[in-house]
Amino acid sequence: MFQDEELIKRCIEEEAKAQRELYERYAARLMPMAMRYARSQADAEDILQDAFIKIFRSLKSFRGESQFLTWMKRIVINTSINHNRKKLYQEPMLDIEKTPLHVEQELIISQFHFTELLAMIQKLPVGCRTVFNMFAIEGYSHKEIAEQLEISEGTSKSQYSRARALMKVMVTEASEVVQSRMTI
Amino acid sequence: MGDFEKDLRDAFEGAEFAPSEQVWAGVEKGLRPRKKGIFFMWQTYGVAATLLLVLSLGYLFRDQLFTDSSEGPATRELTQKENDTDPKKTEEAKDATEKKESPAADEAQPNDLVKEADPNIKDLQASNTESSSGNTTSVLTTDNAAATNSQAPAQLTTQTQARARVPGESTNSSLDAQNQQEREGIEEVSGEELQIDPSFMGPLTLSDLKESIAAITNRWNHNNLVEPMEITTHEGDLPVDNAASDQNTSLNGSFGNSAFNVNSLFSSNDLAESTPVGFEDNRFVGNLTADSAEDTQSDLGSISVGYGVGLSLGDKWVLKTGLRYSKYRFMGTSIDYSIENGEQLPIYTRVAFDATNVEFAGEYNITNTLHSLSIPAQFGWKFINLGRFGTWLNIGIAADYLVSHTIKGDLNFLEKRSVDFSESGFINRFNFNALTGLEFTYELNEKFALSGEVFFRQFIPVGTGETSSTISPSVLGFGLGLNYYLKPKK
Repeated sequence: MFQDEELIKRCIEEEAKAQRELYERYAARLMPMAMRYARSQADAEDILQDAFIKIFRSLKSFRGESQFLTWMKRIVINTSINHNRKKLYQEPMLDIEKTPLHVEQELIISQFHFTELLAMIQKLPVGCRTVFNMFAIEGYSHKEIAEQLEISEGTSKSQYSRARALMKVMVTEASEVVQSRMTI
Repeated sequence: MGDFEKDLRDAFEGAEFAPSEQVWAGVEKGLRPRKKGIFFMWQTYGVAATLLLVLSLGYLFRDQLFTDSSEGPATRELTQKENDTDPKKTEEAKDATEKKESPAADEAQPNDLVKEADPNIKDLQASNTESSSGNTTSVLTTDNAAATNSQAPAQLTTQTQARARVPGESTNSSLDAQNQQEREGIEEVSGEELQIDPSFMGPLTLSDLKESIAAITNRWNHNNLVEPMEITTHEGDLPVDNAASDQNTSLNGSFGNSAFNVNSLFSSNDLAESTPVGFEDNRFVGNLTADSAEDTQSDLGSISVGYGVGLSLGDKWVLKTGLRYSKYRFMGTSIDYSIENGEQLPIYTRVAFDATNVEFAGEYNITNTLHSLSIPAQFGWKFINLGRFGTWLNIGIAADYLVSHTIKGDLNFLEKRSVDFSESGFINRFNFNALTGLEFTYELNEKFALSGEVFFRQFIPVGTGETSSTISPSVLGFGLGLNYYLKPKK
């Protein structure tokens, strides 16, 4: 078992065995991220495959200024956004003026496994899903999201609000199912 | 940032989900795209390599590398020139024919141009060939034919007419028959149209037939003084110091005055191992200066086989040497004839001759065949790698040690002659050449590979003075080999 540095060095030398080892070390950790942006597991695997090809080709440019996993996550996010970009154009996101705002109550999701949450997130429309992932989980600001997705900041905010509203519905429904099981 | 976002991040923190195996397969495919089209590429380059090989072989076959030059070229040469019907010459020929019909003109025939054949000559001899002006003249003699000529049937074939012509012994009827044939026009003579009487002089081949057509035409030209042979003697231009030149003969006949580095210290009979009939008294001595050389040369190709040892310098470079057996063929022309016993006969090559007895007349082809052991030193760069197949670009130098050299004058009656290396120094038999080639290899295992190479060699002039070469021949050829690779440990 090599350390990351040694593994990266061997991968840069295009050592097939090292590439395989690096993939096996990180693929499972990066897969949930790809799944959050994708509509299905198959889509997520496509994203992950493209992301790993970029990772191996870009290894020479990794300077160790950030954590290796963080660097790889950024590549997965960018790959996911590019993957969804066509759909984003096909389903343009609406800005806040045209979208009814819902006053939201606090959502409690701690009772759900991440796979259940994944299933909910994947049901979101592509625009909402992308903004939701970037803001709520990755921690991007609306300004950064707006720049990256080439939308207005207001649109990003409205899309996030809409995503939260949709998530609330799904979480509520799921909570009721869980509670009904517990009472039975 | 509310609790919702925090809970969400916590939920995904440390989450793992194993993707299917297809993902890694796709990643590998993306990282190594060369494998993607390996079959297609193999086919493409395989076809290209095969095409190149076929073209190379075709080139070499076309230039008769693999054919026996002892027959054919001379006949073709004569026949071809025969068929070159220049309208002007045809007109002149007609005039001459008309002139010949008068007895006075008949008496003017230069029968003395036809010389008595040497008793040793059993077959057709064509001498005094003059083709530099585009015309070919030959005198044909045969004692066998002479003996049977008077018994020849009235329907003598063209061939038998040609063979039967002997000065002083020809019958009037045969001469009349010949003249009649000549008046009908040379162009009308065709091998396919002739009737052959096999019982007259044995089996007749198409080659003989063509030969006889040429002979008839040549004799006709002689008899009618059509473009008589211009014999120019250059004795004054040649070195006459035979004593000095005895010590300095070389294979320069076919390579201009270059030595091709087999020169020095040949005896006067260097080429006399197999002298053609009629050359018993010749003296192959002396040297020829470049001034009198009008020879031309062209390569007919090369073939080689060998064993190579290569030192791998990384994945794509190799430094290699080895031992190869090579056969080279060059064709040249000569215009040198020696006078022996009053006969003017071609000397094969201007290796050496008695300057006082050499005249320059018609040119004739000479084919040089050289065999050598070659030690190359080359860099190879592998620029295509398809599994076990590789394509290399090679460049380097090679030293060729000549082991034999045979010369054949391309006239039917001339025999093959060998150069005697016995008095040539060991060093002088080495010839250096720049070598480049395209090599195709098939790896049998990590150490051995079969190779086929198309190469170009440019011989490098070496030495000084009389032993130096002023013309460096080049040759295109192909070779086969077995390579052994030394791979240094990383």
